[in-house]
Amino acid sequence: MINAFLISFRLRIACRVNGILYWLKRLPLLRRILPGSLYGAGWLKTAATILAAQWELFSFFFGKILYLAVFFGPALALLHSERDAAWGGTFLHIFLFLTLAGALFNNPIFSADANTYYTVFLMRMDARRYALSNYVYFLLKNLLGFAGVLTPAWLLSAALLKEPADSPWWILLLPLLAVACKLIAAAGNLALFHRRGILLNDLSGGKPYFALLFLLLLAAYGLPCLGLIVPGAVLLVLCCILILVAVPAVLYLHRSRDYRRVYQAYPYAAAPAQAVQQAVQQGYQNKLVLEEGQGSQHSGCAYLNDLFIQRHRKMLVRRPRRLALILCGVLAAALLASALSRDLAAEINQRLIRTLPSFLLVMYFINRGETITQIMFFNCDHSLLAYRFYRRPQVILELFRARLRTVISLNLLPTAVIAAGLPLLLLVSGGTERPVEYPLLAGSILTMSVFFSVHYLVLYYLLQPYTAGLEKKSPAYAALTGVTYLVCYFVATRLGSLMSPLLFGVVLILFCAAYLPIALLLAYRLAPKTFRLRQ
Amino acid sequence: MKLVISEMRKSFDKKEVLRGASFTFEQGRIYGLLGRNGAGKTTLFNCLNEDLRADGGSAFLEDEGGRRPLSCDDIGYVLSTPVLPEFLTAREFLRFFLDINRGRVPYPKEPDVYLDYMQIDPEDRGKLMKDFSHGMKNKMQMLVHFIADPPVLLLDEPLTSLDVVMADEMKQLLRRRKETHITILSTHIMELALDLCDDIVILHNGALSPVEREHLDDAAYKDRIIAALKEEEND
Repeated sequence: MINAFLISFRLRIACRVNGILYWLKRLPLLRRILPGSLYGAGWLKTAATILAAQWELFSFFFGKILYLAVFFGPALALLHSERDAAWGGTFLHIFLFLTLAGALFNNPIFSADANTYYTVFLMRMDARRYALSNYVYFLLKNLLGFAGVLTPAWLLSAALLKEPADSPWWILLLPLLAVACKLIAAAGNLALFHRRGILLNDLSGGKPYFALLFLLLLAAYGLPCLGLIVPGAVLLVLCCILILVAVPAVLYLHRSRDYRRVYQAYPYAAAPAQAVQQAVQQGYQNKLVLEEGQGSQHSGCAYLNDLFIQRHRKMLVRRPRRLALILCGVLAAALLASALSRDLAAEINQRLIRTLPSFLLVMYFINRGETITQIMFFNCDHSLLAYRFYRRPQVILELFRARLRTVISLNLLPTAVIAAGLPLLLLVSGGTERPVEYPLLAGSILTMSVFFSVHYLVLYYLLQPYTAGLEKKSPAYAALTGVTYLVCYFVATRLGSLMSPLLFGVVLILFCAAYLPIALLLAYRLAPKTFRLRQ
Repeated sequence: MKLVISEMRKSFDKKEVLRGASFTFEQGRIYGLLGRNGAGKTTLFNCLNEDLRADGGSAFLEDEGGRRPLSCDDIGYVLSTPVLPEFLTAREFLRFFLDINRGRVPYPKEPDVYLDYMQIDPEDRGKLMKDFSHGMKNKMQMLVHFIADPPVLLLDEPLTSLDVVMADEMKQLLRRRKETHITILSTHIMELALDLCDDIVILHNGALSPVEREHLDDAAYKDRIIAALKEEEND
């Protein structure tokens, strides 16, 4: 079993090192410096394995510290303003429900990836050995990680509160509870698969699965808000029961011979990375809509683009419509609140114009430029770029123009609600002494939307990041989309607050007035050369 | 008309795939391009089709009017796995194709005329191409190249995944068109190469060379081709 784990661990590290090397070798300067023979360098793989083992050791504890800091720290600080022993009970309550959620959502016994494919299917390692050895390792990490972190946490709480928050026995019980819950969930899932062929995971579970997660989170954080927590005695009994039930679960997991079948049933286990993208493409194609009456009065690229939009209506049009409706609802609620409560109206009025910079982030998330271009590639350009007639400069540019109009108009629907809604809300909540703020609000929001629409389409045409195998392989594209987010975040949260809203709006509009023509000019000049299938 | 490939070179890292490959392909003949796995057949096609940029050398067309470099309209590249815009129907795809090639296609006709020619069932013409079988997709891919009618047709393993009837139809079509075109097909199937091709060209050690048939029968010619391919191992 240990041997099986070590083989799969080494393979995973080798894949990761090769992946990093491949990525580095696509960078302009490093491409020439790094020799191809590095892939075969044994010393590199050994060094990486040692480093990875050290990282694993570190992540044992670091992951748990992060978990406690993120999921418990803020909640405990909000729920208990005073330092007293009561927070120990709240901690145990939250821990119980998050552990139940974790048993369903962070339980990777059956999750298959490229490594599973290589190890189980290509190298024919016994699937049971592979699954169990990796799972035992995962559980040990949890057990030791929790024990290692809860001990100092308990000592710290005892020092801070001048008295221990709870019995030190919990330090032993809680890690066992976490592991027991995962084992029971895994055995239950395997039994369900054995009897009915159903494998529950976040991919196949769909909405009910996420509803359950929501309920567990609600119980974890909502009940303490109402002053309700699971009493310590009940928790203790529950712990003991779950730990006892975990024993037959372990036996069942150990005896089962279904693991290979489980991996075969897993949607992405059948092939490595490309299969994920092919599954995404298949998903897009399954949503195509062919109906009577679809057609176009246009010809050429505009005709192609019209049909593309009509056939992809479910993916491209429905979501902006829904979003626009939701935004209408939010706007109506805000307008109603302003009309009913003078205090609230004053609050909204005071904050509205000041929050203009943060709408840059809102517009970033509303804009679907990246998704739209992905659908364009997967369902259209991936195939047509193989034909030379489609790569003629005039065809590329004609289609670019048609698409630009489409992307802007698709993003414009929810944008229009915000652009019209914000000035209206400003007016209803008490108005402003500077009337220029009304058009400024609307103009800024529209500008942001057009900016993101153009930006992503131009990036797509200039860097076309996808390969013929549907993988996204362009470090430059990844870097630029990452930088786009960071810049938006920085401007929305820091830079924007340093300027007056009026100045921010003007600077934004001027920036876009300069950026957009340059971006379009670049696309017109370069796209005929850059819009190609990556080999 | 001749397609002249001159001193074409292409390397990936330090691996030289094409080492100054040169050959002259003539109109009216179907050439079978044979080579071992990894010999560079697809790389050569990709370089000719400008999917890859060659590191050196050139390719041009030569006729009575002189020489001219290959242009976008000169090459039709038929992929072994046909790729089509799956969100369109066969009729819509042809209409789009004819629209953007207006003025380039001599004597354009209605899409249905072409679909009749390719024997695509009328019931299937209004279906999305995502629901087409592999063979039908192959026919559609071939059809747009036939309509565009480029002088040079490159076919990468064109008939391997077709059923025997459809493969036979395709062979007939290629033979009918060969007099006015330069047709090069890469294949691993010796029988197909011997049956359909007038000449066999081998790509080995990054260079192109013909295997002369002289007066050999099929079996002897086959042995000569295999011997030529094995030379690569012995070099």
